Amino acid sequence: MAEEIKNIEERTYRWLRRFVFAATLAAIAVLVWWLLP
Amino acid sequence: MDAVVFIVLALLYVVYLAIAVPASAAAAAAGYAVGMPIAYLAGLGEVLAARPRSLGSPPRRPKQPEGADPALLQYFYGPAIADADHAVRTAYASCRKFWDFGAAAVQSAFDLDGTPLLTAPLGVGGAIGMGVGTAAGTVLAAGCALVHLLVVGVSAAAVRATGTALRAADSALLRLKNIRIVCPDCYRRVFYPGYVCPRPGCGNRHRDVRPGRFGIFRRRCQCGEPMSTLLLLGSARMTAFCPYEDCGGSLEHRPGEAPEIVLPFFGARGAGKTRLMFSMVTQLEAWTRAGRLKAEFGDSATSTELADAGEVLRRGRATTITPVRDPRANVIRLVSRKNIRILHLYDTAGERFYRSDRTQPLRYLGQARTFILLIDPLSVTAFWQRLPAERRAELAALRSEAPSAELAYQQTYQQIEAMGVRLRTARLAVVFSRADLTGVPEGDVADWAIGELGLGNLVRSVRQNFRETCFVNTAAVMGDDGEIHPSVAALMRWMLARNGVKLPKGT
Repeated sequence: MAEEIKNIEERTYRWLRRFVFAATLAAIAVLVWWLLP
Repeated sequence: MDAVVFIVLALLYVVYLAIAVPASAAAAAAGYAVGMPIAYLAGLGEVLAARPRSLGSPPRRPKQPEGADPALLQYFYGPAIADADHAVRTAYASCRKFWDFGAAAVQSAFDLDGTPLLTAPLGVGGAIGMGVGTAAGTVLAAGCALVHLLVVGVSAAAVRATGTALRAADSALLRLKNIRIVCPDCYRRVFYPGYVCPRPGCGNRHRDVRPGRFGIFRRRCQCGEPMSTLLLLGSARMTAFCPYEDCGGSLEHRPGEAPEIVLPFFGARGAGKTRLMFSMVTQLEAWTRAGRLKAEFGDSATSTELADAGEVLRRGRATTITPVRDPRANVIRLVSRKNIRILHLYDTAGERFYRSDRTQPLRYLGQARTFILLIDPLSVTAFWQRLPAERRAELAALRSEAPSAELAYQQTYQQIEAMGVRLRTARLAVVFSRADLTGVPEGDVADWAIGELGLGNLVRSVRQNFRETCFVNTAAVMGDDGEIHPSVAALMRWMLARNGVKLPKGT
């Protein structure tokens, strides 16, 4: 049951996790571009 | 000569030192300053995107609150922070490996088995560079972590704001449509129904599906089945139940789609409440058959209770005595000219209206705005005694021996008021049953009730306390032509007129 719930969680959160990762990378890139002279 | 060579070599070594130590320090510093944030981002990528099998479970899993619905938490209500923690731990493990690799390299530079004279300066420079680079890398990695947390925080705030806005929009829509959901079992107002997971064989009960910690636009049951979170998004299609823990009764009538009208019948025992309700249902069925409106039983309990209402009237059989218990509403779904209304008809044993301790539990009275008081004229002593002896003999078997109608009225009226109903906004129909036996008086029914039945006090009290009243004689019987007495249809038209329901004319 716990394994099954874990699999459902993996599927459910997949795209939100990817979104957060992409948004973090984008924010860091913008920050670096903005901070570099 | 040897001295010259030594001096030259010493000079060369000093030059070597001057180049090797800063160069190795710079290389190590640059490596660690860049490597640590990269290790953090790699860890974040593993946790958020790649999710390799070797990743393992997050050390801190968000806990489900005690007694919460069996659904998965929305990502930004806990799992996102658990992921951030997991990413930091994964990055820390990578950095640790990276650090151990550097430390081993520095240590090997001083190894006496090799050429320490050449490698030791590199080790010294590397150690200095590692220290400086680690400090800088930690700051940069912490900056990356801060950006990640900021993204999570902003997303969480946006998600919560969206959820609040959706809840407000859904509540506003219910208010706009004038929809107040009432549980037919416990009579309480249900602010939002609970829903059963629609997956066959699951049966998990979700008490509050509205946008929140388990999902904004939809939530996912622990079985994996998605569920709508709002009536706006179609949650009414699922099987509903009363969300109060001590009730949990079934709400099969798809609450939330249409306004609900609570119609309590009250009056003394044997006044004809059940019979009147049966005749109303039969009239609605007749209109449905004629295609003039559509009425259907809202739930299986009502189907069981009222399925043979027409048959009872057709055969002229007496209705069974209503049991003295808390009644369940008979729910009828009424579609008239594209308007949908859910009728809750409460038929309660007359014994419940004589004493306040028995009337108090009938909390549905507090949810109603239109009430129906049933009075059997034959039970009124003054009227009965005025009948000729032979007529009394004929009707003796049909007369109910209940206490006076006024007692049931006074008791219920006080209870309705005690439940917070503003009587000046309420309506009351005073229905004199058995018109088939007593005949329909000519002229005003209220005057007849005052003159013939001696109910002057009751009529005055009713007129004084309620905003709108109606006095009618009804005969809850079916004619030989299979049609219900027209007085029943007329009463129904009055009952539902203020609720935007236009019933067909005639029978």
